[in-house]
Amino acid sequence: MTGLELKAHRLVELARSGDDPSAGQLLSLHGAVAARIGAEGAIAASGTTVTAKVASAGAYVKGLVVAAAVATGAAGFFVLQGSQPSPAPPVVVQAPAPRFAPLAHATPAPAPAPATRPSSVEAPAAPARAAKVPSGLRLQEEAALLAEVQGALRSGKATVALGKLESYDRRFPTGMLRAEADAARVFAFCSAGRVEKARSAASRFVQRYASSPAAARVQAACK
Amino acid sequence: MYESCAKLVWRNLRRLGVPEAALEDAAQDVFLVVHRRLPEFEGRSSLRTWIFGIVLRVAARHRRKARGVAVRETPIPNELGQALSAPAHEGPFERTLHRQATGLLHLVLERLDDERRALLIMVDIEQTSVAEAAEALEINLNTAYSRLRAARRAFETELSGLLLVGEGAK
Repeated sequence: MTGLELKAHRLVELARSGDDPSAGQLLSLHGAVAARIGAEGAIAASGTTVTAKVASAGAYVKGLVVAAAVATGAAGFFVLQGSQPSPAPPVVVQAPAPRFAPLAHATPAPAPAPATRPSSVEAPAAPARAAKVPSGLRLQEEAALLAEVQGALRSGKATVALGKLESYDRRFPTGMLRAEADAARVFAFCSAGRVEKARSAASRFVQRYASSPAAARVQAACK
Repeated sequence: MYESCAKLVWRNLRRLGVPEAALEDAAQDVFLVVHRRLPEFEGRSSLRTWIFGIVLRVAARHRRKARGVAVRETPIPNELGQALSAPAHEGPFERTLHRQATGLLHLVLERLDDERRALLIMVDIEQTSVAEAAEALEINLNTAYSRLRAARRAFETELSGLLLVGEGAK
């Protein structure tokens, strides 16, 4: 990670909670929204009562809770605070959210590996063909392959996801979305029940991308 | 539940450039749209993504209204510059530092185009997945990945420029 990337990263971390509303602002908003919803109900029903206004505002909050439950079932990745867990929660393992990928910029654009470059244990040699692909197209191909990985994870096909990640490793050993792929691997191992593999992959991830916001989630992937 | 939604809406309206004075009005507008359109929500996306899509549209409307209002720029304080160069430490100035960082973040975000700003906010600040961000922005996943990369570069370029200006002013 370059100095500037670090600064960008620190800025985001420092500012992340800086725009949250105060308790007073929340309260004021809640009151105003309830009143406006009540007023809308009044226009619709032409002759509403205070009870109807309250009921309408209450239905709105209740509606949000129901919607959250639907959303939680459909896309477990975004469990909003306060939503109730389902009685028997399925093991929903989603592809990790790619974050401020620490290597996305730090890694130089993929270039043909010089003949004298030492080979890395974790980075299999790139096929000669891959080096000739323009970087824009390469990124598209990387993204497409990772989208397939995410799709497989969402459908619970962890083995398929792992196969695709192996393919990613072979095709893009110095890929621009390497951090995303490494995080996805942790979730795929968890989903496949290969907890030890997941733990060691998570530990490697944290070592390589210590400052990634995804690190904590990756570490907690199998919990 | 309501509170977490309200916070999500509020902070992202602000990051998307809605002026402080118009925040509550804009947040009310978001929740009215949510209220009206809730029956249409089918759970195909997460509730958070669905609401974020509404926030994007409401923010764009309020930003158009506020167009022409001059943005006040203040010099970047020394301590913030230092905190960005070295790991931030907990201390009595922490709150000030967070406030200053939030101000600087707004300045950087303001300099990005709408789509890049929204992508950065969703993925790097709100930590949603690129797939969800793509859905909220109604762009395909490959496009989202390549634009996110461009957005991160633009963010760093703008931040670098602001920090240089800050250095020059001292």
